[in-house]
Amino acid sequence: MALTAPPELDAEVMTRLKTLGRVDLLVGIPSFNNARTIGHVVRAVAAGLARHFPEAKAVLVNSDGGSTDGTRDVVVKTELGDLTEILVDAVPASPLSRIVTPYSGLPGKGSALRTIFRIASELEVSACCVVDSDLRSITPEWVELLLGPVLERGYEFVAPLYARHRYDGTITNTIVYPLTRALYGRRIRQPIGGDFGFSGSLARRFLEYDGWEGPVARYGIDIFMTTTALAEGDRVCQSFLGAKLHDPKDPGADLRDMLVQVVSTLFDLMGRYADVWKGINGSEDVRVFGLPYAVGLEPVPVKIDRLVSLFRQGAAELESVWKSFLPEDVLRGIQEAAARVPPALSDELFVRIIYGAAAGYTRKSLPRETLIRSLIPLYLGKVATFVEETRDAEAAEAEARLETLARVYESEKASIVLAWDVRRGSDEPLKGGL
Amino acid sequence: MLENLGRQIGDAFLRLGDAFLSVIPAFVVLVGALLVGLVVGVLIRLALNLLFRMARQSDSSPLLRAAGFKASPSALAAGVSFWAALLVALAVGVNALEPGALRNVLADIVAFLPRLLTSALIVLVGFGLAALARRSVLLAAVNSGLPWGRAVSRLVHAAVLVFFAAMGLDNLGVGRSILVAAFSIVAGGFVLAAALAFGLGARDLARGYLEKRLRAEEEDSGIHHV
Repeated sequence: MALTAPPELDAEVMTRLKTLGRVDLLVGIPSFNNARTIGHVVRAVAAGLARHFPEAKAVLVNSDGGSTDGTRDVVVKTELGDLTEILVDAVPASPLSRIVTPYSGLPGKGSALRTIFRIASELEVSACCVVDSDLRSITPEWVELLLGPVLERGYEFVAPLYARHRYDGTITNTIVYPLTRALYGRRIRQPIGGDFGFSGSLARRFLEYDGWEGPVARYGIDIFMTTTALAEGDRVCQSFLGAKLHDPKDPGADLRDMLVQVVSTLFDLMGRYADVWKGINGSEDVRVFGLPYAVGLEPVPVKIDRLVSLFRQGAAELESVWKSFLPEDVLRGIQEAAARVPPALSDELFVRIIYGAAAGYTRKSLPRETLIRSLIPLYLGKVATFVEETRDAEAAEAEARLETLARVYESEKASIVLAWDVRRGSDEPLKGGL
Repeated sequence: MLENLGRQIGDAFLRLGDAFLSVIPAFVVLVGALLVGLVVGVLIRLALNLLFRMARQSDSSPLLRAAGFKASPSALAAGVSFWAALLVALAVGVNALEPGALRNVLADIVAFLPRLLTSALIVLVGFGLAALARRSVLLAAVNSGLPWGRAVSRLVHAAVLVFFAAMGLDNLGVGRSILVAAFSIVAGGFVLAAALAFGLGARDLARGYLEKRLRAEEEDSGIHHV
C-alpha cells in the first residue's frame, strides 16, 4: 500500500492521547446527529467493558461529523450509573476514558472511522471495535463478542453476524455477500454490517490505504475493512450479535448513493486485489463466535410494485447505456425478464450482469459512477424477483435461496477471471462466459 | 507593323514568363514547406504513438467515448499534431509568396484556420457534454421513476448540442446578431411556454403529478437496502 498522510487530530486530542499513553482496548463510535440513540450505545459499551474486560485499560472514542443536536454532549455526559442495575455480577469499574473529536476529510462514516484508526494507532491499542451510533439493540455482550476474539483468540478481524429479516439488507444479500464470498473464498455473511472488531495492527494498515478521498470515506468503509482483512490474509471470524435494530431511516442514506459507494469500493478493491481473488476457487465457512438464536424480527413491508416499475422502466430506457458493458444475449435476457409477469431475473443472468459491470468498471467502458447508477433498476429487478420467490417462505428457506445465488456467483467466477484481463478501454462488451 | 506586333507579343510572353519565373521560387518554397510540414507531421505522429504505447495509454478514453469518438487519445493527439504541423508549414509557405491577391487569399485562409479549429474544439466539447448530460438525465429520471426520461434526455442532448454549435458559429463570426436574437427568442419562448403550460394549461395535471411523486418518494419501496 502507498503511504498516505494520516488524518489531522486536534491539539487537545493529541495532548489527551499523550496523557493516556498506551491503551489495551478502544471502542469507536462514529456519529452525526445521533443524540437520541447514542446515550444507549455509550452505556452498553461502558457496561460491556466493565463486565468483560475489567482489567483492561480502555478508551471510548466518538468521532463526530459536526452534529448540531448535542450528540457530543450526550457522549461526554452519559453516566454508566450503578452497574448492579445492568449486570448481575457487576464488578467495580473505573470511569471510562472518553475522547470526543470531530473528524477531518469528506463527510461520511469512512472519514469518521479513519480518525478512530488514527487514534487507535497513536494509542498502540491491542484490539478495537466500532459500533454504529444509532443502534437500539446493542448489549454489553456485543463488546465481548467484537473484542474478545481479537484480544483472546488471536483473530485480526471480527465481522458481525445478525439475525435480519429476509428483506433487510438487500444490497448485502444480492451483491455484496455473494460477490465477496466468490472472490475471496470466505463466507462473511454481513460484510457491510457496520459493527466490527479488529486488531490495532489492522487499524494501522487501514490507515495506510491511499484512496481515502473516494467512496471509502463514506458508505464504502465497511466493505473496505472486510475486503482488506480477507484479501490480505488476516485471520477473520464472525460474532453473532442477535438482531440489529437501529434508527429506521438514516436521513443521508439514499439508495443511489449507497449503491454507488459500496459497489464502487467493491470494484475498486477487485482491481487492487486481482492477483489474490483470481486464484481462489469455491468458498469456506468462517468461524462464528456466540450462539445463534432465533429472534423476533420487525416485518419489512415491501412495495413490490415500485420495484417492478423501476426495473421495467430501466429495461425500456437504459439499454443504450447497458450495451457499453453487457453483451447482446444478456441484454436480451433482461428484456425477457422484464416482460414476464411477474418479472423474473434469474440468478445466472444477474450474476452475469454484475460480473459484466465489474469488468466494464475496470475497463472504464463508461464513467464509473454512471455505470453503477445504471445498475440500480437491475438490482431492484433482482430484489423484486427475490421477494416474489420468497413471499411465503420461512427465514431458512429465504436463506437457502440466497445460498443458491451465492453458488452461482462462485460457479460463474471463471468468466470474470477471464474477462478481467481483457484489454482496458476495449469497446467490445464481454463475450463468451459473460 | 507586323514586326512591332510580333515584338509586343514576344514582350508579353517574356513578361508572362518573367512573372511565372518570379513566382516559381516562392511556389517552390510553399511546396517545400508543405513537404517539410508533412514529414515533420508524420514524425511527430509516430513519436507520439510510440510515447503513448510506452506509457500504456493507447486505449480509448471514456471521455472520448462519451463524446461519441472511438479514437484513442494517442490517435487523436497524433492526428491533431500532424495537422498542426501542416498548418504551420502552410503559414510559412504563404509568407514566402510575393504580396498579391493569391498571397492575400491564402493568408486569409491560414488566419481563419485557428478560429475554425477553435470552433471545432468547442463543438467537440459540446458533443461530449451533450452525451454526458443525456446519460445523466436519463439515469436520474429512470432511477427516480420519472416518466418521459428518454424524451427529456434527448431534449437535453439537443439543447446542449445547439448551445455549443451556436458558440462555435459565434466564434467564427457567422451570423452573430442572428444567433443572439434566435437564442433569446427560443429561450424566452421556451420558458414562457413552459410557465404557461405548467401554470395554466396543465395546472391540475402538474399538481397531481407532483403530489404523487412526493408521496412516492416518502413511501419508496419499504426496503432497507444495506
